[in-house]
Amino acid sequence: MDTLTNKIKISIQGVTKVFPSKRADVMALKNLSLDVMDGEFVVIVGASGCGKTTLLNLVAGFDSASQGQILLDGQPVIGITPECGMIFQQYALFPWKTVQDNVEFGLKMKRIPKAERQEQAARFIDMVGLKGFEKSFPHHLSGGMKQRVSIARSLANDPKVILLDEPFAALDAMTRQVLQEQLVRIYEKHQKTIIFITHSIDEALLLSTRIVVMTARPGRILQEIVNDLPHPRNADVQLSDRYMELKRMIWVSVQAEVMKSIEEETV
Amino acid sequence: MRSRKLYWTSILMALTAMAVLTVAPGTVAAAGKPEKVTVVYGGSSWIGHYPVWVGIEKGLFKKRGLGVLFQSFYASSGRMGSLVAGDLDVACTGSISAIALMAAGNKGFMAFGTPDSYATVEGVIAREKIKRLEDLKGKKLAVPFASSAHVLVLDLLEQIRLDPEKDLTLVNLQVNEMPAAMASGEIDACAAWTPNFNMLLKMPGNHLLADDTQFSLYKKYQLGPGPDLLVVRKEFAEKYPNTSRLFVEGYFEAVDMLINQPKESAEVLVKLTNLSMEDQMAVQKDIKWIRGAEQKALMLQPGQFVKGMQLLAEFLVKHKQIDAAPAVKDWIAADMVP
Amino acid sequence: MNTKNSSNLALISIVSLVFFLAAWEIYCRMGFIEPLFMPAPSKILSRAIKMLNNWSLLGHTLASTRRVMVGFIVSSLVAIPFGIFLGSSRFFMAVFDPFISLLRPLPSMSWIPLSLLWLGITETQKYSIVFMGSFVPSLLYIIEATKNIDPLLIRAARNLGASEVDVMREVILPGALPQIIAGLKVMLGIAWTCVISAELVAAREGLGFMIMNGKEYFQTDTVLLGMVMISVTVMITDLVFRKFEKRLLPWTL
Repeated sequence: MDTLTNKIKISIQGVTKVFPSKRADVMALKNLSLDVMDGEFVVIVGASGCGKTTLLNLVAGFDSASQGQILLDGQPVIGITPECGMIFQQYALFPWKTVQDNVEFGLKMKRIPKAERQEQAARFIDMVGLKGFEKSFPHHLSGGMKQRVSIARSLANDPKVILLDEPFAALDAMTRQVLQEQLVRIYEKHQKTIIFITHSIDEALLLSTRIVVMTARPGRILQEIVNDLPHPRNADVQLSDRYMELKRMIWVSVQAEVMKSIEEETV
Repeated sequence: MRSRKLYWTSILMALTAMAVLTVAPGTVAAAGKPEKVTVVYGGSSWIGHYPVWVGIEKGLFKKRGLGVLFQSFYASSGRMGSLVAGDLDVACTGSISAIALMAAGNKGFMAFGTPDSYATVEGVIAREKIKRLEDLKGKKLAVPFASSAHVLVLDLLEQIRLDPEKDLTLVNLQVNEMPAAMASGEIDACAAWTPNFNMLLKMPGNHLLADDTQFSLYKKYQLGPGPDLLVVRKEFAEKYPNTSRLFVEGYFEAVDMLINQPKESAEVLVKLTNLSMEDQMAVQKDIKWIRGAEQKALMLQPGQFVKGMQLLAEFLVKHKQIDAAPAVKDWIAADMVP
Repeated sequence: MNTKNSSNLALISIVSLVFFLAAWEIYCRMGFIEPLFMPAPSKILSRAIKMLNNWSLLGHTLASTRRVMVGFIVSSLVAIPFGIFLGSSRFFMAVFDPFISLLRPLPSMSWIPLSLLWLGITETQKYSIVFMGSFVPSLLYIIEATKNIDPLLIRAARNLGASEVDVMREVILPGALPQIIAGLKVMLGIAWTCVISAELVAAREGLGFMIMNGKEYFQTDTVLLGMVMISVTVMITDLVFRKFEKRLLPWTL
């Protein structure tokens, strides 16, 4: 892909994460390694409970690895870093702030003067198509609109990497499709490095430049697939043989892992 | 704490009194047996309650076939409230409370005597720098609101034309808190009554500024700002005339004892007041006891005392403490006045 | 709720109140009860008119209101930042927990003797009683409100570059505000009970004094009027509080 430079943006190196618990320690990730190139759109697919979210939390610095390390531009991630902007499934908008103030938040934390941050925020609000809703409180917005605010809030803060944790899972199918298209456009325009988590194979195929399939717990990388589907990934592409082939391939791997985790639960 | 202790000792004493009665009946001197052998009396450590205490301790009620239960109340208002609520039968009260209750239109009680006249165990005590009443201007004067001392202060200030609202600060404080407040310099003067009055006078740097003899009604009627008044629950008096009469007899025998045998009386009174024998004798010396024989002249048709009370009621109206002056003579139980 | 329905309900409340007052008045007029024990509403009303005419009712009400407000505002101003701080720091919560637990059960009245010794017979002493009575409960409300903040929001803020202090000011304070305000409304009622106990000792004005002095003179109508005034004043401050709340919490509308 011509948009990719060959620089490694994020390097996950032999990461293991164990959650101590009273009954038995839970190993969420085991010796996981993954490199994400600058400008790549990596989608991580896996059965629920495979440690996808744990991995993303480690990248964002919300949590620290039990073993191994994560590098961002060659520097280890220690503590929460605003360089990796996180978009949560539950939006995590500040209910007491208007759309405008939510989007301005990161800029305010950087102590950017009011006039400047107002202008920048307005640009991103416009980008996600929420012009006219600046004064609204989140609680008056639909789920899709809230997630657009969350995306605008993250973009306005200009992070190096955007992490999305099943961002569209709670939305209805139509809204999800609109947002997926919008995200692709933003990606193409801003050349951000993106790590996106989902359990939807279709979503992975529509958005990614590369797909990473994770195993059941403890999470490791099972399979990596470079997504060579042409853009725009319209209905024709979605009905193409290559699409079906990739989907079948991923489905077989994921299914096996899902079966494993179900067996584990029933034991 | 102290009143609680008193409460239990008085119950104990009443029980012993009753026990003795069952063993040795028929020693009643007066005509007519009591319809009810127990009389519940409301008191405190104030001088007005000395006769009942002496009467109990010296067996003056017991020999008339009565057991008297001495219940302690810190303030007259609480005592009067309990009397009209039916919890007490007889009490001695400061007349301010009695007048206030008359003004509230309550007909549940009657007055039948006044046991004492005191004028030098209540007054205004000040720190050295205040030489005269006039020096109180701009100062802090503590006084328990709604008490005889309050009335005294209002009257004294009126005599020297000081406005209690503007010319000085009146601090509403109970007498038992005054020694500490005077010691800390919190207040410049205070109006109190015995035994705190004696304690305050003894403290270095304090001196007497005025006492009840300077009260305007005292000058004319020998009446202090809050003379003691004996009251009875009306229903009790009507239902148990013999008991009531026997109580009055015993009571005034105790008054005679206080006059004739002050030392013997003081010996039992120290248990009530917690004063030393010496102080107790000194307090008693300042009291003029009024015998049973003198009561009729004071109380009836209407006596000098009742006239004075009426003026006191009007004084309270003038100083906006009560709404309207009651006709005090309507509350006199003529049958019980000895 | 539609307006017709709510105005109907208001009408029912008014009718119920009028009916109650009328029954009370009639019961007293028939002489079933001694006025010393329970004066008729008309007596209380005429006492109110009398005390309004000489301004004393207003004076007592304002004196108590001022004491409540000063004590309550100072206690809130200390409790809000301190509560947010303790609610977000487990270490300092552990440091202060024993003291909070010791102070919590103390009724405000128990502070009267000490406060008189330390502060004397002053207005500050009255304020301190209100403060001591409302501070610890307010603090506990605020700590609880702080702990109830969605941790995801704190995460999101930190992810957007907020420092610990930024999080307290930008996330915890506004996030806990609805619950803090709900708690403070309850505390305002408690502050009123404190001021009444503060005015039982060494006071010469205020509704607590008015009630106690009325008791001394057997003016039960004054006592009841004082009680009514407390209720009315609390109701009015509650209304003011609600206006204030709407402006402070626009997003909850």
